[in-house]
Amino acid sequence: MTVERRPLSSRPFSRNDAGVSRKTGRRRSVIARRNLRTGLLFLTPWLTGVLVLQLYPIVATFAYSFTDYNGLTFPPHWVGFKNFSQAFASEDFWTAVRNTLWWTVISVPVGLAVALALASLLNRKLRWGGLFRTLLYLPSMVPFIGAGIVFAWLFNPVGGPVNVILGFFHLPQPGWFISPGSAKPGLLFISLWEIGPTMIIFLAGLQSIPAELYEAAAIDGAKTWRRFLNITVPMLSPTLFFNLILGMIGAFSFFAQVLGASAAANNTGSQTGSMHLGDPNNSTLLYAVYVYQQMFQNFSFGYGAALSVMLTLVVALFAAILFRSARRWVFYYGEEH
Amino acid sequence: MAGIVEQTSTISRPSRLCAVRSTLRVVGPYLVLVLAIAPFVFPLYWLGTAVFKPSSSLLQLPIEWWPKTWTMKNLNELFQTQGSNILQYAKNTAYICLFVTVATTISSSLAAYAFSQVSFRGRDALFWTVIVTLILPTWVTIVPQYELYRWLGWLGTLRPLTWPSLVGDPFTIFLLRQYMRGIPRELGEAARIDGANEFQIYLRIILPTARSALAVAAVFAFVQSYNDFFTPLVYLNNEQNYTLALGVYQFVQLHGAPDVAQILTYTALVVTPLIVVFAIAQRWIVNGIRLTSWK
Repeated sequence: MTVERRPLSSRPFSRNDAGVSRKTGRRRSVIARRNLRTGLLFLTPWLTGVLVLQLYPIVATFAYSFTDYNGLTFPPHWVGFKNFSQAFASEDFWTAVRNTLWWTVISVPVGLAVALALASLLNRKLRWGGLFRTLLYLPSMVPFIGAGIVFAWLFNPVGGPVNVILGFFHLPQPGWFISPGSAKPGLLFISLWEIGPTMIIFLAGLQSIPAELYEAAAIDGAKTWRRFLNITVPMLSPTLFFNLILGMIGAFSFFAQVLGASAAANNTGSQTGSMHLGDPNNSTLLYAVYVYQQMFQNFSFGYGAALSVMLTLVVALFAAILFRSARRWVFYYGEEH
Repeated sequence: MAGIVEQTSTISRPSRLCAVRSTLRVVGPYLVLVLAIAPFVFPLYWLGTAVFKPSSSLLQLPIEWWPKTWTMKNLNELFQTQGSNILQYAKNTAYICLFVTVATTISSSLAAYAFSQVSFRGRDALFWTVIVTLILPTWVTIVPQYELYRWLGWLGTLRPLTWPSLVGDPFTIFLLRQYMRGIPRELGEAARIDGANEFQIYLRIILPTARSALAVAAVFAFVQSYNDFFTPLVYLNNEQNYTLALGVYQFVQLHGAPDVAQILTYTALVVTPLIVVFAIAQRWIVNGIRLTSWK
């Protein structure tokens, strides 16, 4: 492994590495000014991107959210909070919110638990560990759209292998992607299948825990479970925090798999007619799918902008809560606070 | 493993129960792993074999776990089917992926250099902006971006997918910056004393030192752009310009159950390049993911 072992104290935002060497005041200001120029010069492409492709669009989206913009008539009409009240009155909106809430609350913790369990298994220094790791990671390389299509066929209620196996064990055989009650659990299996990166991040976290800690605990007679709770969990908390953030981003932007699975399931012949986003029966109408539908199928840019403003506020709230709470439960080993 | 064997042999009266227990402790994790791995491998196995099964056997019961007859018919037919356009889409995808990989890696490394090797006022605040853009939902920027590209006359071309990579990508910047922070400033300082300017330090000292991280960044950029479904879906309205990810989606929508063999074959062909990339670059990918987790 050629992983760079960084000292554990090097956090992304440590305060003491931006300082300039102690020289006389004037010399320092000359260097500081030169460094500022150099820094901004190297940042020019990125700064251009942030201003043109991020900052301006955010401001414009917030402005559009108060208009009836449809992409054609410019300037659009100011409608105040109409888009927002329209959303709150819309049945589809609340379906999308409920689906996304279900999705986030279930898929993120389950994903973290599965990834951590697999990482712990891989961490046991087994023979062929590299092979096992490769096989567990491999599905994450499958393009999302492809994963959606493959799973629609695996979970196909007519002759799909999953239901054949379930039937063999006399278990219930749901309709999966063609039945509203089991489409979201089907999606959950897709996201678990592609859990590889989360697992690798956990594995790296586990491997960075000093073995002495476990040895000391073993001498003190701590049982496996206590060692997990009192050593693994606190030592792994930065990794857990990182994966939680990534999981949240992933859950809110889960999109291609949904479209792939519902399109493929729709064409298995079990249902007729062209595909409708959110099929079956709006059970996979996640918030991202709903926003896409409003923006790029109906071209209701104003309404879509209002939807994305709300999403952004919710994401910001989640992120703020996570970063705030991190001070309480994320523990950086070897660092004083 | 050796430790466990030793442990059991030192027990004074080795009972049979003890032996069973110790075997279980050695074999147990393997058993669990094999059971855990099966669902991860099976879908790929299923997809891989479906390519070579006759289409009639795919929707039939009892299920064919292993192909009874192998055929190349699905592959042949797919390339002849009207609307599969797979070669054209592969060409578009290759162009986009190469452009994005090169552009993202270079432009992001410039920003990462500033964030890691140069100290200036406001640097940390600007770096927080990188993190914010990483977390920001795509939706809150997509409409004005769409309009901007329309105003530039880029809709219907590949440019909305390629040119934005010239300004760098927050994830790549983050990854490269994490690595470059580990490069001692003294390397650059020494070159500066020898008369090198800032750009020469970046080009001759930092980039060669960070080449393993650059390789990781390039692989990630390639995978990400190959995988991208959303951006092509929004911007590509001319079928000639479709990427493979969009092409397979369209193919699924146009073809139903009778063509299941072709749909799965198409999917398998779209999946294969990334599996090949993984086979070649596995170590970089795995180590690169570790690099991203921040401490």
